[in-house]
Amino acid sequence: MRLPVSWLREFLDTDLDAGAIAAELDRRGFKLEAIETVGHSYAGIVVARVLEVEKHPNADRLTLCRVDGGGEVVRVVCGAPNVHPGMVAPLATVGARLPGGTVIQKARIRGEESQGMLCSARELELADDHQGIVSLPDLLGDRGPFVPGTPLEVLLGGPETVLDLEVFYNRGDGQSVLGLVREVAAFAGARWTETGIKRLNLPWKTAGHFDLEVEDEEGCPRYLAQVVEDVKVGPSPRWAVRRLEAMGVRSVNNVVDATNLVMFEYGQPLHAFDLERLKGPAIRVRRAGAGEGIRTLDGKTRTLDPEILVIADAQRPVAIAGIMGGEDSEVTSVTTRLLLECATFDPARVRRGVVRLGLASEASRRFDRGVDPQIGPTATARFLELMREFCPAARPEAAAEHHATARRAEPVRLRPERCDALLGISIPAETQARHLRSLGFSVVEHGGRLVVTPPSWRRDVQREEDVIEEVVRAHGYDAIPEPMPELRGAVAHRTPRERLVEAARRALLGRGFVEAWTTSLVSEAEAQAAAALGEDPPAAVVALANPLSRESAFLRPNPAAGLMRALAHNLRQGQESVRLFEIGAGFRWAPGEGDGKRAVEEPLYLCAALTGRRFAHAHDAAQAAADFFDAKGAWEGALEEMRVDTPEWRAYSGPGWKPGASAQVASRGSRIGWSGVLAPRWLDTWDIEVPVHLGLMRLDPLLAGAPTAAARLPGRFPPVRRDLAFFVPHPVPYADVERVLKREGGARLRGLELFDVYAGAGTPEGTRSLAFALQFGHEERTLTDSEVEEIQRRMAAAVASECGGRLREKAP
Amino acid sequence: MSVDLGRALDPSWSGADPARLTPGHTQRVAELRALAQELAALYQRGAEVLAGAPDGAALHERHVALLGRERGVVTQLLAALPGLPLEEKKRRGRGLNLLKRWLQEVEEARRAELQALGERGAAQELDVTLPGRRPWVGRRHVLALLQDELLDVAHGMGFSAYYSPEVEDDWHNFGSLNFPPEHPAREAHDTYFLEGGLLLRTHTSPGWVRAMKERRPPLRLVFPGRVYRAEAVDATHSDQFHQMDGLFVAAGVSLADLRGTLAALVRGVFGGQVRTRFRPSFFPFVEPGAELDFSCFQCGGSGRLPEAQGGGRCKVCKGTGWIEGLGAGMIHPAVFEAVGYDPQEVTGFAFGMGLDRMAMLRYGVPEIRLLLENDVRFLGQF
Repeated sequence: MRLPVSWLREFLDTDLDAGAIAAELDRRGFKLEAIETVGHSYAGIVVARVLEVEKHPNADRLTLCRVDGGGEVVRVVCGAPNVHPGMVAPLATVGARLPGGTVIQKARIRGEESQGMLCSARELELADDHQGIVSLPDLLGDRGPFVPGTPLEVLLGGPETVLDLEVFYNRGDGQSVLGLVREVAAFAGARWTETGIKRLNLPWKTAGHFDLEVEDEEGCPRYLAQVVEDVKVGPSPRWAVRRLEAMGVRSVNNVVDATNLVMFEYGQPLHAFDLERLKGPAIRVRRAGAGEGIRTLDGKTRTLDPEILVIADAQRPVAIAGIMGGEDSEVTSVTTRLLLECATFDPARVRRGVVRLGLASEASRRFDRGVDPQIGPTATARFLELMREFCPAARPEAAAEHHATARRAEPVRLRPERCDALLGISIPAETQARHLRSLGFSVVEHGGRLVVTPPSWRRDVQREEDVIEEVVRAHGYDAIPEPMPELRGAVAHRTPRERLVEAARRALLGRGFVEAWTTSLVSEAEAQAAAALGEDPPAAVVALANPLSRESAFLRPNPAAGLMRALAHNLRQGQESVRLFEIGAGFRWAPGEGDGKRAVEEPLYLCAALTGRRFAHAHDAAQAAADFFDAKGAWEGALEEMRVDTPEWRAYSGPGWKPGASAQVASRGSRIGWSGVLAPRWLDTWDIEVPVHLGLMRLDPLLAGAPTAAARLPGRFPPVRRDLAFFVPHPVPYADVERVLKREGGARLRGLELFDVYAGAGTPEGTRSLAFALQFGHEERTLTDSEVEEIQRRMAAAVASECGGRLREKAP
Repeated sequence: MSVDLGRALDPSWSGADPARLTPGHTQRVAELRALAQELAALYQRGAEVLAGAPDGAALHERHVALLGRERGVVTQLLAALPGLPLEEKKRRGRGLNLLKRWLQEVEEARRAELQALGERGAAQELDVTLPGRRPWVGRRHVLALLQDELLDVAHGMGFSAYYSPEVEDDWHNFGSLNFPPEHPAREAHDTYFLEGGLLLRTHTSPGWVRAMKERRPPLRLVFPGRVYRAEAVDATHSDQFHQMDGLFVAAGVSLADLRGTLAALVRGVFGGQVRTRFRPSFFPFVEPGAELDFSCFQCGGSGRLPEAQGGGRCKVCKGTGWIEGLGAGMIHPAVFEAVGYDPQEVTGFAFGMGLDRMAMLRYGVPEIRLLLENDVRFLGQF
């Protein structure tokens, strides 16, 4: 809301300057966005009378004018076609600064000296007109006197200081000058001016007969209809134009301007109909019929429904109640009779209309926050007062009112001790009452409690807490102390989820991956592609009902979607090696009942992607493109750091993954993730042409954590080391051999390391050699050779029978 | 038995400059030559490769080739002695023993040299200014850094974290938080909808409702997470951003408790130099409502840039000296009623802040899109 300080001063006599008023309003919850200056001081520009006009000797289109600028007669070269002797126009004297910043200097134009400049309306930023010199009597009507030498500022008014304040939704009253005046009056100790008191008490009464029926009292508790005859639509006086400009609104005509001025002043939106264009003439306030339509002032045709309240004449809707008038009943330049509407509408109904029609206005923004239901008659009277000034011939005629039994403001009980307890500060009851009274609340003390009745313009105050807020606003939020925090029995602990997430994060950070936070909103193609990587068949992806773009129309089923987008971005930016990870939720429809009520699940994922080189730097043979085992090693290390219980890897060939280079991993029997090289066709979704290794892990199954095992002692007896190598048939996965060896080695097996995998010269057809370095030991003694040999024999036998493998004579 | 020097000692082995060998070298060669020509040659070459071994491993390798117990050429020559005629055996035996002793001397001398070299450091051997074989270094996301820091401070003040879903229903996101249907306050919450009456949460406050329904007071919680608004993306607005709400519900919690807690929180996160201002505000789910402003990070609260930066109005705070920090207030009794708490029994405060804006201010990030773009050059700075 914009508040011109001069408007405030019409109501209040206060010594506070604009800055002090702004600062205090800000402290009271009307946040100051800016203090602006609107208009100009017109320094050096004066009223002047043109005495003589003669042709410029050296230019056809220029004239030489002798101009009476008050003090002396000056010579001015002028290019305007309309300049003539006797014309009264603004003269920018030498040294004057135009609103646009130009400084007028003595100049020689085509050999003739010019001692100033006669100004057009545009040069003074009064209007767009640049056709000629502006005639002040034409601009300002008969508001003289146009005495040469009078500073233009005296006629036009000087610069206006305007406070731009943020008004919260609950303060409907703050959307008006009057509401802000009341707030300032509460703290400034200011006296109301005579004008202010008069404007608050303008009388209005019904007269004659007008056919008014309110069919929906709930939607429209109060409706005032006022006929005005003999209207002459025309421009508004200069002060009104300026005031509207200060509010950020352009002048339309005297009638519309008067309704707007009243709306800004009292917060009461008004609407003027052309009475001739109302059928009946009559006003019906009712629900719209289904499918009924109206063409609104903005030129758009709108289809209505019964949830929307309309103002109709005898035949059809002529306005959408509280939102916007209809085009075919609007006031035009030829209107001579008008019907003024001053109504109170139910905020919820107006809001519903706004939402359904997608149409809001200055009026609807006031109605949906609540308009003072008592202000109608005063506002109507103020409109008539303005019309008397703007259009003296106009006269009020018939006036009707429909007023449903007013809901009385409910008194609210305030326990002063409750106020103190909630605020944590002691404010004496009398002070609480004084604060409330300063804001227009009536306060009666009754048995240690304050019975508080809010004024009609403060319908937002309904509960004790609302009253307490008023007390502390007036008292000052800055007066609230800052005691040291107390826990009162609440203690903090980290949840298993937080610990797991942090462990996962540390594990990936430690392996050189950069943490990403990627978009949750992705395209359909990205969502489907990411979903394919996970569960098979893929999870049902979740679409937005009202996306803003196709790129952000779906929720990611897992972070792979956004992570690939980020990876592609980095590749496009010339990065050749990228390692990114993200821990975050995916979204999918719960597999389902299909009974209408659907739920979205948000499983937690760890996703990591890797492309490019093995080392950030190496200038020797160690540098190479990272391959499947580099990536798998990173995931394995991460899982170990996360204490994932005995992960088991198996080949995987789901969609999106490159067959033969992808795996799934399980822990304790349930699948927790996937890893491998992404299929080139799948990468097309992001236009990626380099190999990408991805790991996607579900974190929820890991939430339980690994069971805490009793510590196993390393023992003090040095282990026995033996190398064993097996020829194993090709289809047998390494993991099977390892499992067999570990099982047979049992507690005696202290270490197992695969140190060579080889197939080629020396290995029997269809086999490969797997060579292991094994360590055997015992906590309490050194193992004997025969014990070790016995274990080796069992291992060899088991590998032979279960994996079809054969012990090599000697390890390589 | 004769010696094939080329076969016994790799011809590619580097040899030391003979001049650098012991002063007696030439004399030894002469002495051996007197006994057997080939032993002299073997000694000459053997001494040179031992003295010229570049490192311990090479020295060992050369030792094995010359003096190794199984395959060393000297060892083999000694092993062949018994089959020789007596005179020959004597002469050659003496020569071989000399040869062996002298080679051992040369080897020991070189070992001591290498060791001394090793102790002085390998400086002469390696260009230590060459870059190392460097693994990749991970980085926390800039928002994670800030969130971790906030969680840390909150945790120290007794707030545990509570995570709640990003997909919500109208009741949790609005209704229970005292946004009646069609309330104008919903205007500021442009909402993304899904089918089935579901929506993407527009703030982290639905978490309060879930926590309060699930638990009993006292509750002291923070609610970090991602939120969504269906609004056009520009330099400072994204349709996804991050918030952290905080909540304290217990008997007798007051606005002063809120202010004291926020003061401690701000000190914890920003240190003592940031001043705060507490003023009224409105959110449907709190009453009284408040906002906490921070003194401007850029100009320190003066509203003007330092002369060194050209003076003039500070752009970050628009000359006011203050920037909007966080929203707060006393939990509205309607919210307590919605979750089945008695507002006469318990009271509570709540606060909420936006991480993205805070990160942008703190690190001077001009555009919000940088935060979710994940450019590694950008993330690598923090």
